[in-house]
Amino acid sequence: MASRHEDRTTALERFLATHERRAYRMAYVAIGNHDDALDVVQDAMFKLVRRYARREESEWPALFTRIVQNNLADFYRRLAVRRKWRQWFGRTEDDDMNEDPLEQVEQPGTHQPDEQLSQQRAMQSLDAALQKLPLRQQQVFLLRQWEGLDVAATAQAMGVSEGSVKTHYSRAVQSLRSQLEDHW
Amino acid sequence: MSDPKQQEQVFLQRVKSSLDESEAQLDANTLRDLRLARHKALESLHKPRRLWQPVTLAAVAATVAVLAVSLQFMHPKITTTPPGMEDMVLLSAGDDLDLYENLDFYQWLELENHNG
Repeated sequence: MASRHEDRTTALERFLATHERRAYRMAYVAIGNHDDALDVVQDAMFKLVRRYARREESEWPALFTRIVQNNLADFYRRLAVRRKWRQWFGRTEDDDMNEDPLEQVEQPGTHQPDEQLSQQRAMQSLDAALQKLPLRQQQVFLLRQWEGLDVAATAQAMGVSEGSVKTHYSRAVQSLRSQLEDHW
Repeated sequence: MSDPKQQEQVFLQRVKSSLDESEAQLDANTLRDLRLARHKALESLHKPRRLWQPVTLAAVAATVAVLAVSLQFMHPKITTTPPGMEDMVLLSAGDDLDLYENLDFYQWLELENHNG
């Protein structure tokens, strides 16, 4: 019994260690700051462990993706409510979200080889372009293109119809190409 | 490279590579934070679920309050007639008053029949 429990813990640790970076990057692209992105991922980890540890390992990726997506949607709902309150109290915009997304990208070091610097700039441009997309377009694009989910799996993860996934994906690709293709 | 479909594929491939790269190059602080978050989540697997959490307590308190209020309203109303009002009830019943006036006679008649 104890051994089975240990196996499950090890399997969960392995799963989270494999998926946490990408989940964090997706949350970071959606939110634009480290602390909130980390909160979203940490909360998703807790929910997976507490609620779904006993499920089959093969189900974890889809469940984890779904939880992260729900957490992102919840984050934006709370943000919208907070903005409304601020508007009532005379402040029109959330100052934290007004910062230039490029400035929020952490700089790993000052002296970098040209190639690394170029890659860094490409990532920053991509992050900025992704952050300009509406949340659904952005997350559909990341799930389809980066996670490699098919239309049905993306629809399930995001709780939307397959038709909606196709539309959002197509618009996202079009928007990203128009923003980035000239500079890349 | 004039085929638009092919151009799109090249573009998307580059996006994917860039995203992979960004994942691989996460800074040390972020990786440490993620590791800590993961360990905290896994620790919660070993902790027994506490029944008396604040939410549970609040739910219990609310249930007790609702129950108390419900009982207050659902308690059957006991209508007691004040002493001396029995006659008034009788008089206002609208029954035949002769029946009550001749009650002594009927009791005597019953007794006689029984003895006879």
